[in-house]
Parts: sequence; C-alpha cells; structure tokens
Amino acid sequence: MLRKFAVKLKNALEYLGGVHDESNIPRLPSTSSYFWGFWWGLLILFIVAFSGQTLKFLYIDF
Amino acid sequence: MIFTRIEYYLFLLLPCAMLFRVARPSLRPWVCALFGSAFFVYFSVVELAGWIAAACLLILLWEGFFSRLYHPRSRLCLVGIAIAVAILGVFKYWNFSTGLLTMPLGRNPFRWETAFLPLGISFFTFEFIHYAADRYKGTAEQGTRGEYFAFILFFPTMVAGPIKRFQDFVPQLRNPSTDWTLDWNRGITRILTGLVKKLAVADVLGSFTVHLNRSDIAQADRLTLLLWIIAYGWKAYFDFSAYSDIAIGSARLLGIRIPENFDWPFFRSNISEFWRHWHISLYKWLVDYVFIPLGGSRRSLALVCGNILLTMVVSGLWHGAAAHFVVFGAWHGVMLSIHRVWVTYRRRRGYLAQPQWKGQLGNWALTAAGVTIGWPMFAMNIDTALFFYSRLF
Repeated sequence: MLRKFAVKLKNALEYLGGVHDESNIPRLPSTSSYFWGFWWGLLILFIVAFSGQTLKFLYIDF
Repeated sequence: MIFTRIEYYLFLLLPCAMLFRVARPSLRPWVCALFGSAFFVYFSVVELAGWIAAACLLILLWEGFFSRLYHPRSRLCLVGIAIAVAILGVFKYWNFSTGLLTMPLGRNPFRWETAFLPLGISFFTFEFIHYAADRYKGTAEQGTRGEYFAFILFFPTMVAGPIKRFQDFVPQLRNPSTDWTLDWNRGITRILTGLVKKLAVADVLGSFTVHLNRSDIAQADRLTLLLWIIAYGWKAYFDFSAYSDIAIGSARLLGIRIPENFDWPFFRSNISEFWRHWHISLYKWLVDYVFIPLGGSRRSLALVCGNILLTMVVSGLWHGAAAHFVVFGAWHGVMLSIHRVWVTYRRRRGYLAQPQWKGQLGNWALTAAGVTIGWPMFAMNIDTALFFYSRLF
C-alpha cells in the first residue's frame, strides 16, 4: 500500500513538474486552464521570492 | 547562470521557438544553428573570457565541416575523435597535466595563466565523439550539414546537456511535434519547475554547503558536518536536475524531446541503480563509449571490475581537472565493482529473490551512506576533504 502511494505521489509530482504529458491521477485536472494558471502563478511567486540570490549552476564547467 | 537570465528567454528561447515552428522544414536546422551560434557568442562574452571565448565558436564550425568526411570504417572518424579529445585536453587539462609532469621541479613553467574553458566544451566534446564513433560503426546516418550544425549548436543542451544522440535528435528535427498547446504547456511547466528547484531549493541549500571550507569545518561538530555534506548531495541533485529541467523544457517549446537526466536517484537501493538514475545521459555515454570499448561485461569478473573502475575514473576526471575528482570517480568505481561482485556471487549461489522491505531499506541506507561519503571528494580539494573526514570520523 505504501509502495502504491509512493508511485502515485511520484507520478503526480512529475506531472505537475511537466515530465509527463498525461496525468494518471484521476483527481488531478489535466486540461483545466484555470488549474495551470494557478499552478504557474504559484511557481512564478516562488521564483520571484527567491530570485536575487542566484548561485552559479554547479555543472557548468566548474 | 545562463538559464536564470531573462535575456535567455526573451531574446533567444522564445524567438527561436516561434521561428522554428513557423519556418519551412528545410530552414529549421539553420534556425537552430543560427540561434545556437548567437547563444554561444553572447554568453561566452558576458559570462566567460570575453571575445576570445566567443572565438571558440570556431571549434564547433570546424567540427561541423570536418564531420562531413566521416564514413563507416573511415579512419577520419578516429582522427575526429582524437582532435575532439585533444581540444578538450588542451583547454581543460593543460595546467593539470603539465602540473603533474613538472611536479619534481616545484613549479610549472608551462602553466597557462589565462586558461579558460570554452562554453560547454565538456558536453559538446562528448557529442562530437558520439557522432564520430557511431559514423565509424555505421550506426548513425550522415544527415545534412544543417542538421549536424543544429545538433551541435542546439543551445538548450549545449552548455550542460543532457547529452543527446544524433539518431534520436535528427528525426525530431525533421518532424517536430506540431501540438503547440501541449508542448508549450509541458515546456513552460518544466522550465518554471526547474527555476523553482534552482532558486528556492538548490540555492537555499547552498547556505549550508558554503561552510564546506577548512576554517568552518574546524569549528563544526560531527552532526553539523554530516548535515552539511548531506545538504551538498541534495544541492547537487536539485541544482543539476533543475538545469536539466530547464533544458528539456526549452527544447520542448521547439517541439523536440531530449533525454531525461535524472529519475529520483536518491531513492535507489543499490549503487548501480543510483548511477542508472543520476546524470543518465552521461552514464549511458560512458557505458557506450568507454565501458563497452574496454570490453564491457564480456570478460572475467576481475577484468569487468577493472573496466568499471577505469570508466568511473574517466567520469571523475571529466567532472574536473583536479585530483579530488579522480578520487571521487575511483570511489564510485570501487562501490560499483563491489556491487558487481556481490550480484555475481548471489547469482552463482542462486539467490535471485528480491529482498523484503527491511532488506530494501537496509540496501537504500547503505547506498545513501556510500554516496554521501563520496561527496567531500567532489566538493573539496584532497587536503580539505581529508580534513573533513578526520573531523567526521
């Protein structure tokens, strides 16, 4: 049961992160533009809140 | 910093993505090549050593022309590989190797004081080698000149991967996805997620990892040291997977899918699985172009372990021109070899069943401990890493 939950959580997070094209979580809306507007707004809020302290990417030729 | 700069999105990604979508199919590769050249020149000038770094675009142009000579079983493919390795060697390993050779003198008279790394050289060299090797084996078609330029100058992946394959890339260049809505939804979501991972997680973890220096280590207790080094591992993951997210999302805006680079590596229960899910495109490249040519798994167990060790030392050296990166690679090589011996032993004894959840948990803990113990050798020079270990244990 724990394993099933972990797999579902992983899929949901990956879908919200843009990894998969289709949501295989029934309760997660896949086409609602309101949902994506809200989600992008939230992500942009985080980006704005944390911008200004950017460090160099670790893997760009050191 | 490239992917966190607004000009990347406004002046490169969005115009390129739109132009690529509306351009005639024959012009699409040149759209990629043009914007890739602009990307290379602009960020070489503003982020690296100025115009001299920008002039290194000539390396990519040279490769674009020389690679036209590659044919199956042609020695020119091997010459191309040698040239690519030599260019990487000069820019990345000159001071390191001459420093080693002149160590008995106490100084390095050949030191290149103004040394710099051309943008993305570690990654585009691997793509050059892949194309030359696959042309030699006859497993990659030649493609047109424009397609090859688009491949090596494809700016979302130019600087830090994921390391693409010509065979996967070119069919998409010819027939990119036409579902704008889905591609832009997924692409923008991926880019925003990558930026959040970088700014809100990786850089916040950086406030812990900044203490990984001799003076701070000397004052910290064991628990704090452990916390810092665990934070370093997570920072490395979030930082590089964020970069990969932005690269993958950027490519998606053009309708092109590039390989995934990470798949929850810290939740894997053995070191082999860890490497199959950490920097996946590098791992696959190392398997195909280092491990298999060395003999791969079709040798005695001792030789296979030797091949694994050598491959991981190459991986370590590729990460940076310093002794501590070599030790980091060797450490992972040793862990992978031990795992290989263990798996072979179990198979010979007929122990094929997967362990129960308690066993899985133990395996995960052991893997996490092994990976964590390796981070100081990645994050610090040898002296500081040894000092860190002496304080930790």
